[in-house]
Amino acid sequence: MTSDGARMILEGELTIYSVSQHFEEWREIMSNAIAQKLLSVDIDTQEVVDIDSAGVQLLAYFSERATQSGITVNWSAPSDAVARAQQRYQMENWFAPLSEAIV
Amino acid sequence: MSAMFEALQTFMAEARALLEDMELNLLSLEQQPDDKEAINAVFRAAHTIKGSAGLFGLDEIVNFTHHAETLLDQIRDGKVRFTNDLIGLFLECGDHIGHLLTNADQGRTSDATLQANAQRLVSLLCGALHHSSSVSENHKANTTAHYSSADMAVRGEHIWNINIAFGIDTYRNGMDPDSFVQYLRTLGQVSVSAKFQFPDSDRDFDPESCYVTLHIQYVGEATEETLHSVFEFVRDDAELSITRVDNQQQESIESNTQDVLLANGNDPRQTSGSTTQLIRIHADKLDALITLVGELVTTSAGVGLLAARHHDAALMEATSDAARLIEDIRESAMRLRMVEIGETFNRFRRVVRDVAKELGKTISLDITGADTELDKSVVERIGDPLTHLIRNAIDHGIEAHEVRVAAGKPESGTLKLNAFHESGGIIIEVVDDGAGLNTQKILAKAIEKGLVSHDASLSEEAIAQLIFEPGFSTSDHISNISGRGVGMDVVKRNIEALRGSITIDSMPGLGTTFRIRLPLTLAIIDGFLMSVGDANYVLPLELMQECVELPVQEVSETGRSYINLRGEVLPLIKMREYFALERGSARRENVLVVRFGMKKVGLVVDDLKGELQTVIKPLGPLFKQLRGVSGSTILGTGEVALMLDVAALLDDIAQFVNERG
Repeated sequence: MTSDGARMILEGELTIYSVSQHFEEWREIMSNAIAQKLLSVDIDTQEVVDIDSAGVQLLAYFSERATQSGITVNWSAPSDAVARAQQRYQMENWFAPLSEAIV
Repeated sequence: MSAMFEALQTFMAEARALLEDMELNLLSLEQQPDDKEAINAVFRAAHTIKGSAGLFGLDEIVNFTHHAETLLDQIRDGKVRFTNDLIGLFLECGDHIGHLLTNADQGRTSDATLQANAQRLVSLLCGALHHSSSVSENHKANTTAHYSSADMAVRGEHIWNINIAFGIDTYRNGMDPDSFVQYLRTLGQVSVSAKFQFPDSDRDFDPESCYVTLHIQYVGEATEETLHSVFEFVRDDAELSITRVDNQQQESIESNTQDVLLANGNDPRQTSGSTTQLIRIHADKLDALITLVGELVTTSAGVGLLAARHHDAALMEATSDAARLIEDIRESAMRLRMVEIGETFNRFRRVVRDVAKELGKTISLDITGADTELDKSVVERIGDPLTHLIRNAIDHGIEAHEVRVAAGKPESGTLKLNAFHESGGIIIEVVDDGAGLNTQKILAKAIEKGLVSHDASLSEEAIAQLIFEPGFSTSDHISNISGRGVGMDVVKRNIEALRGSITIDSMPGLGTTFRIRLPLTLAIIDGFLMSVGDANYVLPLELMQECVELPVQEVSETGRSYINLRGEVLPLIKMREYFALERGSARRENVLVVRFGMKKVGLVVDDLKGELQTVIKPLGPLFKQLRGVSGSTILGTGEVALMLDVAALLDDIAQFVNERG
């Protein structure tokens, strides 16, 4: 794993019921990252067991907002649930894919 | 408020129908686990329940059903195999949703037990999902097929572009854009890409708001109407556009498709017709209509009587025409309330499956006569007694595997449910191929319980009837399923409350048949009017076999209470004596030969007055104890006639004969 960045770990359910909470965590991590002038953020979705469209939307938002702030997102390998969701929306390439080396 | 309430009621009714549908499909999947149609049907049921529940803010149902839907989706994609365990799990999920619906209906929230159950089921669902999610990849390849437009035209398929920008509150309303896509996949080939229109700053972004626009390409047979209906739940908030991208002109396509579909025997008008042919009507409105028709029947009888008195041929003809039409109206009105018993029967597939599983027996259920129709109110009230009979048959009737094999029977037991019409009533049979009733044991138990005396000599039939006595149970051990000694008497009482009767046919070693006889309807009957002295009596016409004159020389004043009817002994009930009426001045008496079930009896009355249609009114509670009379009716003349309760009359005469020895 790259170590020069902040790290966000998503676990369990990433659904409408939890997106607000995850969003708050994200804001905190992002404001720290910006304050410390970090270049990248790791987002780990390996332990996500359930994700709905609100969850996918949140990941898309993370990606877009980070890019706008000039921060690279290093995505972990997706969990099965996340992979399936990406596949359903044909978003496999949406989240900048991780190189094999990192996984 | 009331519109909302009505909508909720509609949702409840629909959701329950969907659950039933789901259950049936699951049970059929147990036999054929690869039936694609059934899998799709189960998925659609879950999907629709979730979608509609979201509209009413029933979060608990949405949340729970979501898990089931997710797994079903995987099953549908062939990524998870439908094992029997999974079917059992989904059956339980269906039950749980049923409980949630009941709670929602009564405005309650889940108690601890229900919540614990939900958690258990959800973790099982998630477990099944993860267990098998790794097998997914190799299925992906063949989903993108290539289409030539010629092929598609033959199959009636078209390419549609669907753009939908979901409303900002979509998630909050309990809906997931993905579920619509999943539903669309049941109708054809789908490819999706998502775009998000996010606000510019974090402050304006609300993760619970929906910023999704989907661009969907759909290839399949669905019509524009069907596609629109897919998005029915979100249509109000979303911006939806659906366009055909085939290279033909719209109009010519329309007619072409139609031709093609017609050629395939696949008329879209028919398929859409099947959904619009049904109208939901409030039961009260139907009841009001039937009451009115009942009054009309009575009035019409009065008019007919008046016309006859005036000896005006033209008037009589007109009234008889009117009477015929009213008869037709009555019949169609009654038919409105008639429902097929099949739906009730199908519920028992689940009962049989569960009970058999619990007891470790293999039992197949044969259903015949599912299209037999009877009155809705009767159908509703026969469910419980039937359930009890079926549980009993599985528990007590059908033997354990080893016993069956030892007796030279097939290992798996058979339970038959059969319904058919017979002389104006409906017969429902519950037949098992089990051990039959053990009359020795029943008699011993009855003596032990003090239901009969030690020295009583009872026929096999009479002994069998003992199981309907309150507090009777022969099972040596009390099981969960039945055998608490409550039930059979309640079964009998419930059936009698419907003006029905129940009989038992038992063959030792071969099985038992419970035969329930019910009237088709409770409201209006074709009756036969007769009089004894000054009083009028009505009898259901379907019970009547024939009328004969009472041969005076054969029956003396005090003597025999039977006659010789063409070589057959026919017991008589003298209505005058039975109802303790004064002697009338009738010149001669008549015998009405009445058949009820397997029994025949002659009713001795004064005058026979002919057929009539009659609306039965219940007797007041004051007359509840009155034997032999089950209701009353008002005649066209304004006079009251009493409705004879033939079952009670027959019981009485049997008792009378027994007492005499």
